[in-house]
Amino acid sequence: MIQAKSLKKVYSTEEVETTALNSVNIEIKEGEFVAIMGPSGCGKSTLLNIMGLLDNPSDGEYHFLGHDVSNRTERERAQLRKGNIGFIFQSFNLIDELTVFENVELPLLYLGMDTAERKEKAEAALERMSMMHRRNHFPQQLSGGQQQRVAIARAVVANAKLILADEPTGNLDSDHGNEVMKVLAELNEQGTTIVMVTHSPHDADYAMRVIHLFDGHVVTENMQEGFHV
Amino acid sequence: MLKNYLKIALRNLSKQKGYTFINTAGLAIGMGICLFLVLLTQYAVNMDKHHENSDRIYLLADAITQQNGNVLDVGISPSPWGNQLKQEYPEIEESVRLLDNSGNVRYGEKILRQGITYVDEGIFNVFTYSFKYGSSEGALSRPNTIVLTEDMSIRYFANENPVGKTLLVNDEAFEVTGVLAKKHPQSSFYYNALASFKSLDENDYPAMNDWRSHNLYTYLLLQEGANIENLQVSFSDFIAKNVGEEYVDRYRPFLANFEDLYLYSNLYGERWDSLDVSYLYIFSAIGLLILFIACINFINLATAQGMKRAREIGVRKVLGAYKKQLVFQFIAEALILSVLAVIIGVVFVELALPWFNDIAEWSVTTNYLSNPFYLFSIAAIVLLVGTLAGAYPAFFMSAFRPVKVLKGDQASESGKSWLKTTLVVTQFSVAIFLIISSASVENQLSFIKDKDLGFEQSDMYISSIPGISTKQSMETLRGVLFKIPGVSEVSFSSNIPGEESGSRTQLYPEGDLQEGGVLINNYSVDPYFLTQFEIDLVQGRDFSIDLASDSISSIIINEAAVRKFGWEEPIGRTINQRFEGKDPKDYVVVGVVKDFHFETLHTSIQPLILFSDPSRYFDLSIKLRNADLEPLTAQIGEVLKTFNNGIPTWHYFLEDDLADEYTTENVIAEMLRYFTFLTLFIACLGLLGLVSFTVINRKKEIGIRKVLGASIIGLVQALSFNFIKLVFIGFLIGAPLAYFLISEWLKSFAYSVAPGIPIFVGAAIITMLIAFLTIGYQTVKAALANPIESLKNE
Repeated sequence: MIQAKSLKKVYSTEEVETTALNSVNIEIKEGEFVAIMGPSGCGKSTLLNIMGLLDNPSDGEYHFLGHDVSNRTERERAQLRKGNIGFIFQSFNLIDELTVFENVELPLLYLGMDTAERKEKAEAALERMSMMHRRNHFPQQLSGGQQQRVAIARAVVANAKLILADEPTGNLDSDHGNEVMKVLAELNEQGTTIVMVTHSPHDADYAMRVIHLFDGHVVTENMQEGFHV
Repeated sequence: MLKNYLKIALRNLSKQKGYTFINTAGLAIGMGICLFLVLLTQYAVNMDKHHENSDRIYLLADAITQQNGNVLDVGISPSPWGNQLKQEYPEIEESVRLLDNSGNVRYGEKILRQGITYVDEGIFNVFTYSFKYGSSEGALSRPNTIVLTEDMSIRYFANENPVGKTLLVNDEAFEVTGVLAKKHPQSSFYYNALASFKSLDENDYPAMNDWRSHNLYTYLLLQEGANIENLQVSFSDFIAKNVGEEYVDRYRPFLANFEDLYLYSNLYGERWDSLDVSYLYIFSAIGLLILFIACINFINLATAQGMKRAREIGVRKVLGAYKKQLVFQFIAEALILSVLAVIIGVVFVELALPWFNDIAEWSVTTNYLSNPFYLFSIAAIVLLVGTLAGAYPAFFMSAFRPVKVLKGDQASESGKSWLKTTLVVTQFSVAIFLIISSASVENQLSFIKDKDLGFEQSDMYISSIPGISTKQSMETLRGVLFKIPGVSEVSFSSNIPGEESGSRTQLYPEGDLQEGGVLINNYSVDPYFLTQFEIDLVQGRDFSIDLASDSISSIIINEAAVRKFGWEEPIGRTINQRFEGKDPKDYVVVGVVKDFHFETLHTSIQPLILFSDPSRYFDLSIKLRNADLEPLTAQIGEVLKTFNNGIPTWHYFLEDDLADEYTTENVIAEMLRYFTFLTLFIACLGLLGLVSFTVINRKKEIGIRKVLGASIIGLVQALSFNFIKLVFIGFLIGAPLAYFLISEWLKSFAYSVAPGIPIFVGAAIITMLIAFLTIGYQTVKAALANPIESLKNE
């Protein structure tokens, strides 16, 4: 599903050049659950952004679903992203002015689906995350765990093949965090590929494979015990 | 998708109440002012166009080369010209003359002095009038027929149909053949009653067959597609043939389009209302500027607001929104706000119109259904403001990079700083421009009010002379009036100084002007007039009650006339009056009066001749002294009523009426006052919005400075200084512009006072003060805040 070869990402300002990623090679197959770990500033988020087609690499090749997408325009990336990739953020990033239902429905709007189909899919996703009873609430009226479940519902509503999660439990207490991790594991069991950036070894235990980054390099790749690709 | 945009827009608007208020209020005011001006302009431009043939009607005007070589454009023409033109040129379909006169009009016991306009029967072919009673068909084709306006009809006949009844005009019987329906509000000229021109003979109207005496108005109706240029060129042949070869260089008649008279005419002897078109341009420019600054407010606030919306934009992008879709979303939001604003703006217009109609004596209305142009303007203004003001923030915000904004970083910049600078500078330039203009206009108006006009105007009770008055009855009236305690002077005259130019007659003074003659304003006044109005005599003597010859052959002239005629020694000189086919008549100058402002201050003092012909006395002036005016006025009214067959006469006080002479100027002053206030309001709203965003942006900086020991005063200074600096730059731009424009405006007065330093300094201080107060609260609040709060990470 994902093949990255010699990925490089350099951020430059007028005076300083910062290399966020350097010669990163990664391959992720469909159905995998991969955790990316490493200290702050090691390039985890940069890698996730490139995988999620939010950013272009400075150098190297990146293939997503068989397409070479290393150097696409913003519009082309958005096109490919829609319906294929779902995002989950540490800070949830729900739109405060929209209700739970409207937030979940949003990706479908951008896919140009008709009202009835949107309703059906959004409700199914909410049902799946046990959030139907909250469909008319606004994000601020929910607990953090509930907000993240809505965010997950939004990520899966369009049947995304890949879910990218950036520290999904970072803003949650451990109970809610576990709940979210269970949901992600379930999704993975149902066939969704998941790539998750995390600081938490506990969360990383849910993954099949853990990639450690340090200063922009992949240092180790561990296959978790009990998982077989 | 549209529903989604609408939802999020409305929720955002109701959540950000302050922001919504500033934006909507500013836009609503700007839009309201623009729509208001659209209506006014439309009203002015359509003046007189309700006449079916308005585009084919022309006033016969003449460019007269005077003795001194100056050319005077006059709106009046000699009586025989029109009809002769019609006979000679087939493209002239109709020609009508209008001669204004007045007389004592009697019906039964009711006698009132009334203005009467003598017109040719073709008037109803040229102008479109509807009739309340009777019809235009042959209405004025016979001598001694008269068509009344509704007002005059009511005055004599209440609500009865007067057609077929007889009115006595100066004891001559006139048959009422029709009553005109109410005057169309967009008419620049008006009559009281129309009498058939055929009723006049040479005794009534000595200049009737004079080819050189310009004294009435001639309107021509041209054939469709007539070539105006060719026609005007051929007028010189017409003059050569009918007036004389020697007059070809002197008279150059031309055609002034009836539709253009209201806005563009500048002719001597205008009998119609007019409005200088530059007022329309100036106010439209001001309106657009106000709308413009409201739009910049919108752009700035929306852009600053963008920081708060950054997360939403990021999420939308991650979820697959194209940039185009986001741009569309934000423009749609701007359009929604714009619709909201225009609704409020339209309500403003509805509220402002009655006020405006009252002070300007217009009747502008908003007939939404019958005025597609107004509806179109409303739609256009919404679309224009929505898209133009929405575009910048839309492109700015849709360019946010989701990777950055979703990290929880605030969007780093809140719009370009040049935009903010432009905003504040433009707003305050306009505000200062308006403050100075408005103050200068008021300054000029109070100058006019205080200006010594050269005659007494206070406590002067003015009325018409009641009933049919002979010299005898006037003396009786004077005697009765003097018995009332509080009446100090009484005089009779044809005109009241300061209001009317008097009639204009072609006269031939001794000396250089003897040959061609000159058109001169004249009054008829009794021997008490000069004393009562305290007009100084500089040479010779006043008219005398004891010299019967004074009313027949003596005249008094003003200093301007002495200069005009080039006389070293004016007393004893003669002025000749002649009409073709009549015996000439000589008048001897017995006195010279000091120049006084018998016209408004728009014109410099022109030559004036005072006759003493009792048959031309229409007005009665009574000088009152000290007493309590109200009972005194009532008492005088009672006396006049007994002289007027029991019918009350109208009256007014000269001082009040002179103030009314400057209606246009007063309207302008009033409008400027409101526009200034509203502009200041919008400017302050904008400043308030900007300052609060700046303060939010610099919260961290303020916190750090405080931790490092900055004083509160120092912080307030640091925060305010930049803004105050911009206001000052605004002053540097606005003040010279105002000075330039006001100087131009003042040129329309022969007597004016230039705006002085205090106005400029005052404007600067007021603006700075208001700006400082606006900024003050926010900056002080920010400076007082506990730094721990602002330095804590989210």
